[in-house]
Amino acid sequence: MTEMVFAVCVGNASLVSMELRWVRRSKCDDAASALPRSIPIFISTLKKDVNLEELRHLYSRCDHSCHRFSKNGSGIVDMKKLRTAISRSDVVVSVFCKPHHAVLVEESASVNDDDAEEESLSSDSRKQNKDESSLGDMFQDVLPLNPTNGQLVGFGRAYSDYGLTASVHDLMVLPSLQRMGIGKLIVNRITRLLTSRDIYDIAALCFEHERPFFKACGFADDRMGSTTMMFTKSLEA
Amino acid sequence: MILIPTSSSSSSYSCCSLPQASFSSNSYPSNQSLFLSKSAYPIRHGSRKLKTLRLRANFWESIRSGFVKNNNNTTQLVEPPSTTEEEDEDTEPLLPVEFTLVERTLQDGFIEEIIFSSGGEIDVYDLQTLCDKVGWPRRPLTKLAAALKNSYMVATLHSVLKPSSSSSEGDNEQQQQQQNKKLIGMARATSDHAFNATIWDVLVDPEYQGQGLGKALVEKLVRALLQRDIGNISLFADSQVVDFYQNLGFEADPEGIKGMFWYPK
Repeated sequence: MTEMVFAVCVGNASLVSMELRWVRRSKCDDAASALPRSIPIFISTLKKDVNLEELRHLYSRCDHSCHRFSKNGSGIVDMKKLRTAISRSDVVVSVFCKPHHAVLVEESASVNDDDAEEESLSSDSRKQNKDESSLGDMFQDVLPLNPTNGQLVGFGRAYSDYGLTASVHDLMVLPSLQRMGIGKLIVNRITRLLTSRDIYDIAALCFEHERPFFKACGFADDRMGSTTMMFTKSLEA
Repeated sequence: MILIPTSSSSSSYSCCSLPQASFSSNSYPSNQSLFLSKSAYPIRHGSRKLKTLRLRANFWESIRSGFVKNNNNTTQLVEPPSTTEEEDEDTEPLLPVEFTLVERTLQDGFIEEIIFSSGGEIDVYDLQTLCDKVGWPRRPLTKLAAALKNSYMVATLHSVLKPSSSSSEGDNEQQQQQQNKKLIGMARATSDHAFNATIWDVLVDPEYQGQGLGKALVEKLVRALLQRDIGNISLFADSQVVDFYQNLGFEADPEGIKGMFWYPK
C-alpha cells in the first residue's frame, strides 16, 4: 500500500504532523454528487491549526454534541470548555479541504444525512481527476491547500494518560463529504499517534449507528467482555 | 534507575526519569495546584505533610507538561502563548485533599484510620502489590507511573495504624505512622478537563472489601468530576461489578452508547 505525500513533512519521517492527501469517492456515488472524483485534503495534527470558531461550526453542521446526553447541556458548545478540551487532548486531528469543494457539495443534494457511518473505502487511490469546472475553480485547484485557506471538514481528538489508556472523542466529518475515507483517515492518524507513544488500550464511545464505522477502522467490542457504563444520575444540589 | 530514552525515534514514555525506590516529586497529576496552598486543608495524623519544595518543583513541571505534551514526539508543537494563558485561568487547579474516612479501634488496642486522599503521593510499588492482591495482570511499572502522573484525578485509600495510647505528636510517632501506612485502595480518572472523563483502575484490597470503601472512592471521584462540570463520565466494568456501579448511579449502555476498543490486526 503506497502512500504519496505531497507537502513538506514536519518532524519524524514516520510521524507527519501535516500532510496533503487525496480522497476519492466510491464509484456508486459518482452520479449523485457534483464533487470531483478526488479532492485534496490537508490533515494536520497540530493544535494550533484548530480554529475554535470553525470547530464549533463543524459541531453544529455534523449535528454533534459535546454532551452525550441532551439533559446535560444545550446544543450550543461552550467555547471556554472547548478550548480547554482541545488543549488537554493529547491527539487532535483536523482535516481541511478547499472551500469550493465543501461549498459545492453543500449546494447539491446530499447523499447522506447525519449518518456518521462509513464503509472502509480505499483512500489509497492517488489518481488525480481533472474536473471540467470553471476557470476560477481550476485556479483554486492549483493553489496549495493549507489550514489557513482550507475549510475544516473533519475532526477527531483523543485524550490519554500517556501510559496505559486513551479515549477517542468527537469524531466527525461534514455529512456531505462522508463516505470518502476521511473519517477512517482521522481514526488511523489518531491510533498511529497513540501507538507511537506505546499506548495500545484505545477506547471509543460510540452510538449504535456509529459502530459499523468504528468496526471498519479496527475497533471491536471489548474482548474481556466489559460493560460500558456512564453516569446518568443528575447532580444533587 | 530506570532510564527513559530521549531520542526521537523511540516510542514514548514520559520524558522524566523516575527514581527507583518511590515515586516522589513528580507524582502529582500534571494539573496539580499551581499555587502554593498553605494548608487549605488540615493535614491529619498519619499523612505526609505536603512539602512546599515539592509543590514548587511541580509548578514548573506542570507548566512544561501543559505546553509540550511529549518531548519525544516532534509532531506535537508548543501551543501559542495566548491560548495557554487563558487555559491556566480556566482550569481550576486540583488541590490535594486528604481526610479520614473511617476510624475504628482494633482488638489489640490499635486504632486504624482509613484515609482518603486525592492528589497525593502513590508509591508505584505499593500499587503493584495491591494489583497483585486483587489478581490483576502485571503492567510495566514505568507505564503505570506515567499513567498515574497524567491522570486527571487519582484517589487513594490508606490505612494507618496507631496505638490508642498516643499522646503528643512527636517525630517518633510520625515516623512510626509512616511505616504503618498501607495502600488499600485506589481509583483514577482520565479526562479532557472539560467534557469527558473515564474512570479506570478501581481497586480495593480484598481484606478491606465489603465495607463501602470502594463505593466511597468512586462516589468522591464522581462528585469531584461533576463539580468541575464534567458531564460525560464513563467506565468499563467487568461483569461482576456492573451491579456495584449501578448502585452508584451508572447505567449500562445508556442510549445505546457502547465502548469499542482498538485491536490491531
